[in-house]
Amino acid sequence: MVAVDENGTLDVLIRTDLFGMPSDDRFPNLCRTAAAHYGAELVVVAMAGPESVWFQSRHGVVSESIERAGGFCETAILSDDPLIVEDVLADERFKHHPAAAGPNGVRFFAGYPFHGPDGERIGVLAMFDLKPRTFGADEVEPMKVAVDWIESELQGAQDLDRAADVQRAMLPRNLAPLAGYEIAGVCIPAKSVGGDFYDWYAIDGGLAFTLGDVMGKGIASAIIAAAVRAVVRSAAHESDVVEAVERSATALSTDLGEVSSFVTMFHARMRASDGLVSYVDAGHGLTVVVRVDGTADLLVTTDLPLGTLDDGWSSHQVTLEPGDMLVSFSDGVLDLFDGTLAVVDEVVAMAREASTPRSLVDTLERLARRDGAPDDVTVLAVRRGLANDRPNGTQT
Amino acid sequence: MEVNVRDLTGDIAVIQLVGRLNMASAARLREAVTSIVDSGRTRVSIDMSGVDFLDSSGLGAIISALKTTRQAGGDLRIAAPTGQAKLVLQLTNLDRVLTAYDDAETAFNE
Repeated sequence: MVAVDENGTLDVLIRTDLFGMPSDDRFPNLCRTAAAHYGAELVVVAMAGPESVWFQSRHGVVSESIERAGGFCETAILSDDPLIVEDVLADERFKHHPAAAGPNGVRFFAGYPFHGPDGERIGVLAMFDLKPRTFGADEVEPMKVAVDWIESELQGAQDLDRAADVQRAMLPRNLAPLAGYEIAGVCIPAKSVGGDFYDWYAIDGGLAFTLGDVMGKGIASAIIAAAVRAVVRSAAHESDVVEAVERSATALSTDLGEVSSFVTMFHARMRASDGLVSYVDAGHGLTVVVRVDGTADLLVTTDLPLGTLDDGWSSHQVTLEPGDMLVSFSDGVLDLFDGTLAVVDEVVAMAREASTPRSLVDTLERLARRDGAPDDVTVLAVRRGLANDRPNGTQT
Repeated sequence: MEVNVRDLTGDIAVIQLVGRLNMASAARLREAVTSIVDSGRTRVSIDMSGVDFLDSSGLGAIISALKTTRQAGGDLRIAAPTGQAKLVLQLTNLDRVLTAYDDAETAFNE
């Protein structure tokens, strides 16, 4: 997908989404290794930008970009084949290039173009040297290996970005399922995608909500999390919360067994009329109700995660009085603090401080993003409004 | 992580774990238990006193090990988890089925 427009300038597809602009050093070891392997002065992974060629990763080069027009890198990106200039001063195209001027000018160039995930040519692995050199096919070959690797990295990054978009899209958002209640949640995967999820949806006379944490991190966990979410949702019509969890566990047992995974889960059904919450805690253990008077109750947990021994689940009840807030969070939140159960008190203190589920969730999200959480961080908060609260339904 | 296996009299094996039982090392615990059970010993005791970090993947390996031994007619017991590992077992309620014994050597005596 390379074209020359009517002005004669290069019109490559510019993929700023693949790299942070201006310079996101994604392949530093590659440039260093290539420089050592070839004994070359300068090695860059360069990407076409609108007017410049950006050095996304570089070895021996100080600047972050160079002008595009007519340069070595642009010419190489336009080439179908690797561009090898063994002696710059003997090459009509480049002998007058500013970079070749003077005693320390560029005398050798080798550029191997690479493609983006959709097959368009977007950049070049380029090597410069200050003396002419001969460069045979056996020396081009390692550049091809490096370029194949760059392309597969870019493909992987794009796949992950798309997976993350899909996972985000599966989180509930702007519905107002229940007048008189506010609900908010956030899920921040440690990697692009993760095994945590939260969910909520209207049920007859109230609201169902779930926080789940699939073993592990990354794509494998995310695939299982998508299945768990779907299975639990499919039991939405079960009026009994234990039935819903048992049905889900049965449906998931083969899959979880096959991949030796398990899921901790908090699943609840809340009756809108009086705030009665019936819940199952399957090895989750981190749900607390912060009362309007500032006291807090850590909810009872007795049962095992799904996919372990599946020896049955039991329901417990807690009532949200007006002004009470239920907060359920994944164990990744523990790592934001000292990793002990004392963290529950930290979360309770934040919940007291926060007037709404949204502001509590925002506070924890800021912490997780600031500290670069090592594990997936997920928080779900539900508050029953006070009688004199303005009716504001659900926020996300 | 270090995974040291030694045999006790009878069909009991003790696995001593030292270090972090996480996504990177979980497979080694699974393999160790599978190989113990394949060799005919079905009662496995894990000394967790040296485990300074346990994540969900590590916990998954312990659960797999428990299932593997039970399917072979034996059992798995754990001894002396501390700190963060103990908290993970407690939060997930798995301490209910994986009671922590004081000493891996004697876990099957009780």
